[in-house]
Amino acid sequence: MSAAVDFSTDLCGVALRNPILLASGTCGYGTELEGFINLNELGGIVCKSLTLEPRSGNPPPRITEVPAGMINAISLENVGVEAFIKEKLPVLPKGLPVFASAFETEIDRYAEVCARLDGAPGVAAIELNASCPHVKSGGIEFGQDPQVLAALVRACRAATDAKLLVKLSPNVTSIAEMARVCEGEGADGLSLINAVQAMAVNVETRRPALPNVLGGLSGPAIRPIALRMVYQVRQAVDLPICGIGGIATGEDTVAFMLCGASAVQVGTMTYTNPEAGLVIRDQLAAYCARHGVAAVRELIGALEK
Amino acid sequence: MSSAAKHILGRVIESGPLGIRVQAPGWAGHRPGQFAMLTLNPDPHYPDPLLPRPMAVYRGKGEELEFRFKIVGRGTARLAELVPGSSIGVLGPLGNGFPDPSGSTILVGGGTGIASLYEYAKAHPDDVRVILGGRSHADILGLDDFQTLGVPLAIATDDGSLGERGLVTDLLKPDSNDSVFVCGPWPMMRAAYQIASDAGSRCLVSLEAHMACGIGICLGCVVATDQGFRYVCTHGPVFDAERVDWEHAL
Ligand SMILES: Cc1cc2nc3c(=O)[nH]c(=O)nc-3n(C[C@H](O)[C@H](O)[C@H](O)COP(=O)(O)OP(=O)(O)OC[C@H]3O[C@@H](n4cnc5c(N)ncnc54)[C@H](O)[C@@H]3O)c2cc1C
Ligand SMILES: Cc1cc2nc3c(=O)[nH]c(=O)nc-3n(C[C@H](O)[C@H](O)[C@H](O)COP(=O)(O)O)c2cc1C
Ligand code: FES
Repeated sequence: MSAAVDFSTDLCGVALRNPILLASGTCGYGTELEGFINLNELGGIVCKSLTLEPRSGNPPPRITEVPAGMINAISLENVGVEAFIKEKLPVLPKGLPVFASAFETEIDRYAEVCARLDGAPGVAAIELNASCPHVKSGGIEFGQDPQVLAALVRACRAATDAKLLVKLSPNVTSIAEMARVCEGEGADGLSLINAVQAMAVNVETRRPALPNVLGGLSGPAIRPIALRMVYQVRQAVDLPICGIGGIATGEDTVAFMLCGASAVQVGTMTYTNPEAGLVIRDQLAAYCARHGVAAVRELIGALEK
Repeated sequence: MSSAAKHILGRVIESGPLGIRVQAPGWAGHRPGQFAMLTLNPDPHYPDPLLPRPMAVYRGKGEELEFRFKIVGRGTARLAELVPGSSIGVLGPLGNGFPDPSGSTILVGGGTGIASLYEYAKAHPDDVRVILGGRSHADILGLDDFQTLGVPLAIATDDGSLGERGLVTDLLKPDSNDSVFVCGPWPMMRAAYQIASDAGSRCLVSLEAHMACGIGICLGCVVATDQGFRYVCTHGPVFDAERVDWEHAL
């Protein structure tokens, strides 16, 4: 890695040593990756989304592979916010920006998760996962209805002084509208995108590949969609953006930054190699060296037209 | 998680339709019954197929690892075509593996499940009896290797082309002092567990599940047990059969 390049960036006031974070649901609670990578070399991690109580997920099979991607139907499985604060946070390396992700099935419960995380030592910021099905709206995601999303962000904003990133669902007609809603309700930043609603069928058995029928598509297959959405959100709002979706290389990171992302999250690719985040960081360094980029921040929004 | 597990950029020594041998520099060693995740095309610019494939370590000598498989889809077909010298990602050793024997142990293997059992038989030849099964002669992988060990060996095939005609479970007659270790298709493991439990013998099964990561970060590989969902990659793949909820196939 070239020592000359300044890798530091900033995501809604959280200083990052480099722009590469690991995405929620793809790095556990961080500790699972120790022994494979030095977490402190990453920009940060976003831990598995947390609910008020520990939750179990869907019955197996939960994942299926598709071209350049995978579809998952894990559902809400997590250790719960209390166990996260007591058992997971204290053992993570000091100095690592840890983003805690919150999700729930009701707005007041979301707000309660945020309230519990508020001030928990070691939490750099909260990421609201708005891709959870909302029981009261008949199971559509919180992030799919602008009014529900507004109410959610408002309630969570009121529940915490912590920096609040809202993670947008891509399963919407206008991602720009959703971004504006979040900005209007006082979000500090946006993460996008979550997995894209999808389905696969096993034609031999004539059954859905997953018993849950629908799942979330992730991996390189969704990268162009994610990039398009980051680009559109950049035009729509001034909030800092964390880009997510199929990022597999340093060049992919550059593309997201050029379209306006201040940092990125690596998701599915960590499954293929637990060191993926650091490999991507090194490729980003090589890109910067090749193009004479002195500070990686220069790339943010620097798309030529 | 096994703290010795590493992600290694390995090299293919040779590959074919029955298995692959790989040089994995820095491989930490493993217990019988542990597995690895094999990434077919470790170049992240063209990750195809995307997810690594879980494979039991059939046999290992230092950093040289051998895997045995059956071609069932795109990933195994691609594995079989890798030319010597190609790079391959090897993540492992993963999972718990089988415990050391506590007395006489019957190993029951069906189809590709046999691959999880060979090193156990090799490590404990005086403690084991082996029962292998498959659809026909060609499905009994590693037959020569088991014969060379000289362990008591019984075979059943559906078509009678080798050993007895019938199911491996027809040959399984444990008594309460035997432990029964099983790896094979779900219905076979379930039937073997029933026989073992009727005889009062301890039964361990090595399970398969669709996996993305192999290290407990995707939460994809669950099996239902009496303790709720457990992860096959980190809590298993070897489980006490009486804890598994056999009504819910993986
Ligand atoms: C711990 C463990 C050890 C294994 N050891 C062996 C072995 O030694 N020899 C062997 O032949 N097979 C073994 N398997 C099964 C092997 O992983 C699958 O046959 C293989 O992944 C199929 O890939 P494919 O692309 O050819 O098939 P496809 O059906 O095209 O695969 C599509 C997706 O489904 C997954 N998948 C399909 N079948 C299985 C399965 N039975 N188990 C897990 N995932 C599956 C694949 O990994 C892939 O993600 C093992 C599985 C596990 C979990
Ligand atoms: C198995 C799996 C589990 C996930 N769990 C969560 C989660 O708990 N919370 C969340 O906000 N996103 C979750 N995600 C979505 C990812 O964080 C990410 O937004 C998405 O996978 C797209 O990025 P990728 O293509 O790099 O994987 C999950 C994704 C996968 C594949
Ligand atoms: S394979 Fe990912 S948790 Fe087991």
